[in-house]
Amino acid sequence: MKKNNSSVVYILNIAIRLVVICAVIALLVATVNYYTAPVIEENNRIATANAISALFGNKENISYEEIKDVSIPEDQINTVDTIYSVKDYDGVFLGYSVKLSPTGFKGDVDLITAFDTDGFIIGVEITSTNDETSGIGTKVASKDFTNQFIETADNQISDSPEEYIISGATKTSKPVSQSIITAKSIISKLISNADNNVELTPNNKVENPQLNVPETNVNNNAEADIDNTGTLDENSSENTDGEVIN
Amino acid sequence: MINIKKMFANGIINENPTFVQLLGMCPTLAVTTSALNGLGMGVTVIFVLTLSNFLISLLRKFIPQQVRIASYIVIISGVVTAIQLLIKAYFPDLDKSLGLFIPLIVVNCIILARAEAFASKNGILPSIFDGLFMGLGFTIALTILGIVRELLGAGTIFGFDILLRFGYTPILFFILPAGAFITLGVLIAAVNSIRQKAAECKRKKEAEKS
Repeated sequence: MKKNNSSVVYILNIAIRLVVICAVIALLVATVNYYTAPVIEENNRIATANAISALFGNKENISYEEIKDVSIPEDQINTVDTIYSVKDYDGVFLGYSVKLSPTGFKGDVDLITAFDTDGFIIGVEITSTNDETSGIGTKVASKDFTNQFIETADNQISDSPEEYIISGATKTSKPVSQSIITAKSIISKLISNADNNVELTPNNKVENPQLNVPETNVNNNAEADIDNTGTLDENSSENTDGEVIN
Repeated sequence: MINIKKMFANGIINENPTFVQLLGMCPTLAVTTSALNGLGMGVTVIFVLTLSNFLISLLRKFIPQQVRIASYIVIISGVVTAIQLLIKAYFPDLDKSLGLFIPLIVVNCIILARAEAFASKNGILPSIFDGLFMGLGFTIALTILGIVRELLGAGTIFGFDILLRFGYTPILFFILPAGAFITLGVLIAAVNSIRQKAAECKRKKEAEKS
């Protein structure tokens, strides 16, 4: 009996010490996370804002808002991260941008595509090639590759990703090409739905933190704006902090 | 009394984790496609190793002997996660290039080996120096490996054009995994040769003195 008691104490002693160690380490990680989470979020926001701004010709005063509830092909759900509607600060609609993260040879490749108001691709920016092999998979970030996808009314991209792959880097370039083709088809559907007066539901309006915000309020009374609740408001305006005021 | 000079020599040359102990081969072979990646991974390991050695040494009397490996893994993974968050926040470019290999530091043999062989048996200060010097040895090894592979495989060092301007055609083989094994093998042979020659010189000097 005594032996049993002592073995329970013995096991409890080990277990409690292990729990204490785990708690101390969890506290350390939680503290670091508390201080770094806002910085990481801000970094991601700036990276996205810069990439979108660059794709729309480094135009100043660009704002973009996320569009949700868009139908995405089932096999591409993990590839398409976010779809944005892009405007300038006068409320003039510039086009769309799609953030993609197709899986390459070793990990995800992050890229942003930009579409004009007619749904033509105006730019592709590879924001990260993560774990792709240096000198091989990383070739997808070159302009030679990304410029293939830029469209005009006379020259549009094919539905076949094989046409754009890089020899020797197929495992990276094929999923990237496929994701761009998918983005194109999503935007084409979005435009045709918009033409048919189907209401979009944008959310989480994001302002470009690196771009200049006008010092005076910009009234968008002349044009219908879309607020965070996804409803259309014909009298919305924006203040200098980029918040939507109804 | 800590013999810092000896610990430094052990970490950099005599017990170099990569060239002598052959520890942490996964990141050594996988990450060193460029000099910057090698340096980045090495510096990250310095922080992880120093901090984990410090914590393990601090808690060595509290950690139960029976579950010490589990405790070490908890501590090491916590430290790696914290450092990964810091890199993500303050060095996002480094985070992008190192990617998956930062969390994999948790299972890097060097960290666990130094925890088991040194930090769990020594005081806080020697453990910190051990982590620092072993990490430095690892960083130097990875940077050299990265420099050689990047130079031959891409014609650049730290992204600066070195050979391309002379019409050099990059040998992609050195960027690929097979190139990593061969480059590492050649470097280990070179380091062993240098160590042997140094040991011979030392022996000769001692013989002359006596």
